[in-house]
Amino acid sequence: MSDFLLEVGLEEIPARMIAPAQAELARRVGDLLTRERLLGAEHKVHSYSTPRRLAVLVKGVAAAQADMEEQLTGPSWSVAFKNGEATPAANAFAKKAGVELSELKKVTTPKGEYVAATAHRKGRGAAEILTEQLPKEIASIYWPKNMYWRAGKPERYVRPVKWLLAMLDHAIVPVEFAGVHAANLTYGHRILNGDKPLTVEHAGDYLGVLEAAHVTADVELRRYRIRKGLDAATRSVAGARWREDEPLVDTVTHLTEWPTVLLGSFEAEYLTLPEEVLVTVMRDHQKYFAVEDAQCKLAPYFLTVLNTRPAERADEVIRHGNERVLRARFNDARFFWDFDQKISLTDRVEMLKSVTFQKDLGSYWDKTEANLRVAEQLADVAGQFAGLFPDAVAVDKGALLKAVRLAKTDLTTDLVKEFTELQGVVGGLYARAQGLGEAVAQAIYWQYSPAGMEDPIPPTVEGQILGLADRFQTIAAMFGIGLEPTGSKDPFGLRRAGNGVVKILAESELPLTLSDLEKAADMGESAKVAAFFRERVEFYLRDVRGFAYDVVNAVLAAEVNDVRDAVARVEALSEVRGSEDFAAIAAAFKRMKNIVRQAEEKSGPIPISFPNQSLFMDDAERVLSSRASQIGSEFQNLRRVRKYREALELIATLRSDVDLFFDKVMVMVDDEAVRGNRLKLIAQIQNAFSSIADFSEIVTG
Amino acid sequence: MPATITTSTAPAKTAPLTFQELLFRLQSFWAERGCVLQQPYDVEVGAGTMSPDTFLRVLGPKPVNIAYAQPSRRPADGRYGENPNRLYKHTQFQVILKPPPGDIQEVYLASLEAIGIDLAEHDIKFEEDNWESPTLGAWGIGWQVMLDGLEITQFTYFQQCGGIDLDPISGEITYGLERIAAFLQDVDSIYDIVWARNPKTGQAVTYGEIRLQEELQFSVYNFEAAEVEKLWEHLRLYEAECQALLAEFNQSFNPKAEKAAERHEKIHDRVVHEGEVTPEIEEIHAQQRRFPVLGAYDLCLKCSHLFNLLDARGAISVTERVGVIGRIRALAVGVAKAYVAQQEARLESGK
Repeated sequence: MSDFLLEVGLEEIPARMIAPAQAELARRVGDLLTRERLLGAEHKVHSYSTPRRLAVLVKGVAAAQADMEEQLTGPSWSVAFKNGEATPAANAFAKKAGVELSELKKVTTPKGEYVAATAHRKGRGAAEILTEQLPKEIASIYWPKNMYWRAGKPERYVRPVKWLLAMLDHAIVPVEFAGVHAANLTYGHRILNGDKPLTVEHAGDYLGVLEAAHVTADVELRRYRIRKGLDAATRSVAGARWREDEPLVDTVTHLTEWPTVLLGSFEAEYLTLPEEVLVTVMRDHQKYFAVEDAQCKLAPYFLTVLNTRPAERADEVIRHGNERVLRARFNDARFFWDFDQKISLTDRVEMLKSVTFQKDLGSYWDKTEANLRVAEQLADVAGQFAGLFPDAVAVDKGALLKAVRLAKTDLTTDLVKEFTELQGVVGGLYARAQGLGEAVAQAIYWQYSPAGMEDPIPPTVEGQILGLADRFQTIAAMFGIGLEPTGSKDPFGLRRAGNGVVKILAESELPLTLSDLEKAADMGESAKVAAFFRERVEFYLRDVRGFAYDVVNAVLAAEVNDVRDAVARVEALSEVRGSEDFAAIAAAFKRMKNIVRQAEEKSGPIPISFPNQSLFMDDAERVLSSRASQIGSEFQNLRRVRKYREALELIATLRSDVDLFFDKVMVMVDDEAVRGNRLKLIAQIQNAFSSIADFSEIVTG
Repeated sequence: MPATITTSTAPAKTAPLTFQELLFRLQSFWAERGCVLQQPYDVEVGAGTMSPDTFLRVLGPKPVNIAYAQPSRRPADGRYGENPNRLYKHTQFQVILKPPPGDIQEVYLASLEAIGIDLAEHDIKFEEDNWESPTLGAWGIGWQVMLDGLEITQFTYFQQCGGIDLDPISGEITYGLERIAAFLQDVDSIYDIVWARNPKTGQAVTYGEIRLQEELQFSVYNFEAAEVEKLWEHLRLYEAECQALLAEFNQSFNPKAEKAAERHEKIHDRVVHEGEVTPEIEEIHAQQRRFPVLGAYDLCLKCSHLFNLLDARGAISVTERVGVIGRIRALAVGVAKAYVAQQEARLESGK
C-alpha cells in the first residue's frame, strides 16, 4: 500500500474559506479513491491547510486497481451464429468483451439462448486514474467568491494557483490544473524560508519537510500552539487572562503558517473609552485578543498573533508597530467620541432625514416615525394591567418614546460610521453621557439584541418594546412592498428580525401576542406574515429550544399567536407525552381525526354541537359523552390559568373511556342519524380538548 | 516561483526615508521593473483607480505597466487638520500591471524591502479585502496587506471596470504613502512626517508645513463654504456635456454605422472580404480615433468630485443619493464602452 499526497499551492486564501475547502478536498479525494477501488482496507485520510495551501495525505492507497472479471451478455445466439458461422454481431461482441470468438459461451435465460463472455478487466494504475480525475475534483471545490487571473479566462478559482504537488510514495503524479504541472516540490514560509522550493522525497515526509521550513500545515496543531502561546504571553502580566474568543482563535489560525504570540500594551488613559469601543477596535479591526484582570475588567494590554518568528530583537519592533496602530485607532475613536458630542442625539433626529432606510420606504426619520406609532400602541397594551395586580408589567412610556425617537440617531455619528457593528451600543452610551436617563440609555443600547439566538433579550421592558416595535415594523413594511425573504435570499435580514421578535416575546414578561403586534403595526390580515411567523416560532421552539418536532407541530396546530403561551404548552406537552396513558390518548385522537376527516370529505363539515343523548345506542358512547362533558369544564378552567400539565393529565384520564368506545362502538354505521350523532360526539371531544395542542400530530409508538 | 526578493537596495536602518524619498524609491523600484512612470492626473479624483491611467488603461487587451502617485481627494474625510490620522487629500502610489506577472506578490514584497522594510523583522499578512466601486462599475478580488497590524497596501486583481469584464485582468497595487511614511519615521501624526530634509543643513520640512493649511481650508470649503446650488449647477452642466459627447459618439460609431458602410460597398458591386478595411471604414475609424472620449471622461470625473462635495455638504437627500450615483455610473460605463470601441477601431486599423 502507498501514500498519496496532493497539495494545491495558492496565493493567500481568505481565512474564512479555508476550513470548508480543506474538508471538501479531503472528501473529494477520499470519494475518488473509493469510487476507483484504490483504497486499502486500512486506509487513513489526513487533511491539512495553511493560508497558502490545501493538502490531503492518504495512507493505504493501492498502486493499482485489482483486475476484475465481468460476465457480459451479448446478442441472442441465433443472431450471433448462423449455420454455425459467426456473424458480424458475434465478432463485434467478442471484440467489445476483449475475448476470442472461441471463448464465447452459450447461456440459457428465460428469454432464450444468448451469447455470453467472461471479460477480463485489467485494473488501471492509481497514478493514471489520479492524473486523469484529480483536476476536476480540484476545480469543483466550492468557493464563495472566485476570480479570473489568466488571459483568456480559462478557469475561475479563489486565488491564483501557484504550484501543485502530487505524489504516490516517491513518484510524481503528473496532475495538471490551471496551467500548473504537479511536481514533488513545495514552498515554505514566505519570509522565514523565502522562495526556494523544497523537495519532498516521499509523500509521507510532507509535514516534516514543511515544519522544517517554518510551516505548520496541521491546523489543529497550529490552533493548539496559538492557544499555548496566548497563555504563555499573558502570564507575564500578573493576574491577567486573555479573553476567550474561539472565532478569533479560528481566524488567526487560518491567517498564519508559523504563528507566534506577542503581548503589547496601551496607555491606561484609553481605558476611559467605553469597553465596547476598545474591544471592537482590538478584536474586529486588529484581530487582537483583549486581556482582562482578575476582576474581569479590561487591562491595558493586547495579544497579537504573528505569522512569523521574529528575528532577534525584532519582536520589539513588531510590538512597537502594533502598539502604534492601536494607539492611532484608539485616538481616532476618542476623536470621534468627542466630536460626536458636539451635536446631541436630540439634535440629530432631523439629520435622519438624509439617511436611507430603504429606497421605497424612505429615510430613518420616516422609519422612526413609524416605530413611534407602533411602540406607543404596544406600550398601551403591554402596560394596561400596571398597578392592577402585583406582577403586571409597568412601562415607562415617556422613556420608551424618547428612546424610540432617538434610537436611530447614532447612525449619523462618526463613531458608528467608523464602527458600524456598534450601532445601538454607541447610541446608548451617548444617551447616558448626555444625561437622557438610564431607562432611555438602556433601551437604545440593547435595541439590536438579540442579534443571534445565543444573545440575551434586552434587560428592560422599554428596550424589549423598542426591539419588538423596530423589528416588527420593518417586517410588516418590507412584506408590504413585496420584499419578503424567498428561499435562501433574505437581503434585509427579515428572518433574523423575526427570530428576534419571537425570542423577545417568548422570554420577556410582556403580555403581548403576534396579533397585538399586527394591530400596532396597523397591518391587515396577511397570510404571508402569519406563515412567516409560524416558521419563526417553529424555528425557535425546535432549533433554539430543542423541543421535539411533533410536539411543536401539535402545539402550533392549536395556536401560534401567543408565543409565551406556546412555549408553556410545548413544555407541558413534552413532559406528559412519555406517559402510557397520554400516548394512548394521542393515538385515539389521531383515530378520531381520521374518522372525522373521512366523513367530512364524503358529506361535508360536521357541526360542532352536543350529541343527542337519545340517539346513543351503546353504554360506551353514553359514558364517554358524559365523562367528556364532566372534565370538559375543569379542563377549560385549567387551560385558562395555564396549568397545562394538569390539563393534559386530565385528558389522559379519558383513556379508558375512549378505549372502550372504540372497542364497542362502530362509528360509521348505516343508520344515518346514529352515525351523525357519533360523529358529532367525537368531533366535539376533539374540538373541546385540542386547544392546547392537536394531539393527532404526536408521533406515537 | 523565481526568487525576486533582494535586500541589496535596502537602505541603512538608521535613516528612515522622507516622504519624498519614499516616493522616489517606489518610483525607481517600479521603473526598474518596466513600469512607465506617469505624473498624477490633474483632475480631482477620489482614488488612484479613477485616474484614466487605471480606469481606461485596464480596459481591452493591450498590456500596461504603469505607476504614478495620485493625490486623492475625499471631501467627507476632511478633519480641519485636527485629526492626526485623517486627511481630506491623501497620496496613493498606484501600480497597474496588465497582465499581472506570476510573481506579482514577490515583486511587491521586494518593493517593501526597497523602501527600507526588512521583512525578517516584521509581521506581514495578506488578508482578504475585495474592492468595489459602484460609481465606476468596477470591482476586484484581493487583499489588504498588513504590516505589524497596519494596513499599508490594497492589492487587487481587477475583474471588471466600467461594467466591462476584463480580459486580461490587471493587478493593481495601491500604497498608502502617508501611512507608510508615518510608519517608517515612527511618528504618531501624519503632520509630523518629514516631507524633505535639506541635505546641506539637515533641516526638515514637515508634512504639516506643506499641507496643514490646505487641510484646514479645504475642510472649511467642503463642509461650510461650498455653495450647494452652484455645485448642483456644475454637476448638471458637466453631466450634460459628458452625455452629449457620449450620445454623439454612439450615434456616429455604433456597429450599425459600419455595417451600413459595408452594405454600401456591396451595392457598388465590389466583393468585400471579411476583415478587410475599406476606405469608407478607414474613414470612420479615423474620425473615431480623434473623438474626445478622454474629454468625456474628465467631465465624468468632475461629476464624481462634485457629488463627493455635495455629499460632504450634507446636501444629497435620501432619494437623490442612489439616483446621483446611478447617473455618474452611467457616465463612467458609457465612457468605458466608447473607449473600448475606440481601441478596437485602432487595432483593426493596425495602429
